[in-house]
Amino acid sequence: MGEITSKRNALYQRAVADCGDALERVARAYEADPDKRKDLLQEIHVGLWLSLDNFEGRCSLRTWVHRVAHNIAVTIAIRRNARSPDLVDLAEVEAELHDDGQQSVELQDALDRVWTLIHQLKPQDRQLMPLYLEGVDAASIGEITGLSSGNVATRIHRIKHLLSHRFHQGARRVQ
Amino acid sequence: MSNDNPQDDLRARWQGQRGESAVSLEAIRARAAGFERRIRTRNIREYFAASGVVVWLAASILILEPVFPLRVAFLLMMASAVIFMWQLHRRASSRLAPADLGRTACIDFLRRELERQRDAVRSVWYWGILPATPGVLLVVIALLFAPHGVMWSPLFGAWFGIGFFVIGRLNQRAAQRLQREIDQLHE
Repeated sequence: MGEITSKRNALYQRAVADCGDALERVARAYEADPDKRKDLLQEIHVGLWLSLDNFEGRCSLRTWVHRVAHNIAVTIAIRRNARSPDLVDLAEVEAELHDDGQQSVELQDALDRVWTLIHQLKPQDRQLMPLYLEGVDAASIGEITGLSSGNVATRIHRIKHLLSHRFHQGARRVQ
Repeated sequence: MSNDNPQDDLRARWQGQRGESAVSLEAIRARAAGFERRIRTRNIREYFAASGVVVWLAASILILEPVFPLRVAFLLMMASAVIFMWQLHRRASSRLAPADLGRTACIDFLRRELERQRDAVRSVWYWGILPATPGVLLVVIALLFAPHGVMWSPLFGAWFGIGFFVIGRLNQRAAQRLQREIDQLHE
C-alpha cells in the first residue's frame, strides 16, 4: 500500500513538473470564472493523483495527464449543466470567416482572442485547440481525444486557417 | 526572438503562460478526504429526507386515522418515496476518479457521460413518476369518499397530474438535447 502511494506520488510530481502549467490552461479552457477555475483545477489535480494508481505506462505520462484533465473538466462541465446551445465548432467558426483581409493584432491580443474563441467552442474542439497550442503532435492528439488521424488533420488545418486569418499578428509582434 | 511563422509565436506565447496556483500534495489529500466526507454527508441527508417523508406519512396514518383506501395510498406513497431516494442515490456519481479516467479517450469518455445523463433524465418516468402514481391515484379515488372530497379529489389529482406532466416533459426535452449532442460527436 505504501509502495503504491509513493509510486503514485512520484508519478504525480513528475506529471506536475512536466505539465503543471498545461493543467491550468485546461482548467481555463473550461472555466472562465477565476474562482470556479481554481476549484476545477484542484479537482483535476485530485483526479490525476488518484488516477495514477492505474497508470501502467502503456501511453506516455503526458498523454495520460491530458486525457485525465480533459475527461475531468468535461465531466464537471456536464454536471454543472454548463453546455450552452450557443457553443460552436471550428467548422462553423471557419465558415463565418469574412474575406476582408488578415487582421494584424498584437500577440497578447491574439492570445486573448484565442481564449475567447476557446470558451465558445463545443467540447471536442475545446479539447483539440489547446492540445494543438500546447505543441502536442497530431498522433498524440488522436491518442488523447480518440479522433481518427484524418479527423485530427482536418481540425488542425481549420485551426491553422483560423489563427492565420483571425489572429494574424505578423506585423506587430511583441517581443 | 520571434519565429518566422507567426503561429509559432502564438504557440510559444500560449505555452509560456505560467500557472498561478500551485497545488500541494497535502492539499490534494485533504480535498480527496473532503470529497469522501461530502459523499457521506449527502447520503445522510438523503436518508433523513426519505425518513422524514415516511415518518410524516406514517404519523398521518396514526393520527388522522384516515379511511382504509387512504391508508393504503399513504403506504404506497411511503414506498415510492423510498424507491425515489434509493434511485437518486444509485444514479448519483460517488467516484472522484473512475478507474479508466486516463485510459479512455476523451470522445469515448464524453459520449459515456452524455449517455449516462441522457438515460437518467429519460428514465425519470420509470424511477421517479411511475412508482408515485398508484399512491396518488388511490388518494384521488379515496378522497371522493371523504367529507368535501368531491372538491378536493380533482384538485389533488390535477395538481399532481400537471406536476408529473411538467417534470416528464422537461426531462424528455433534456434527453433530446443530450441525444443531439451525442449525435454530433464525430469519431
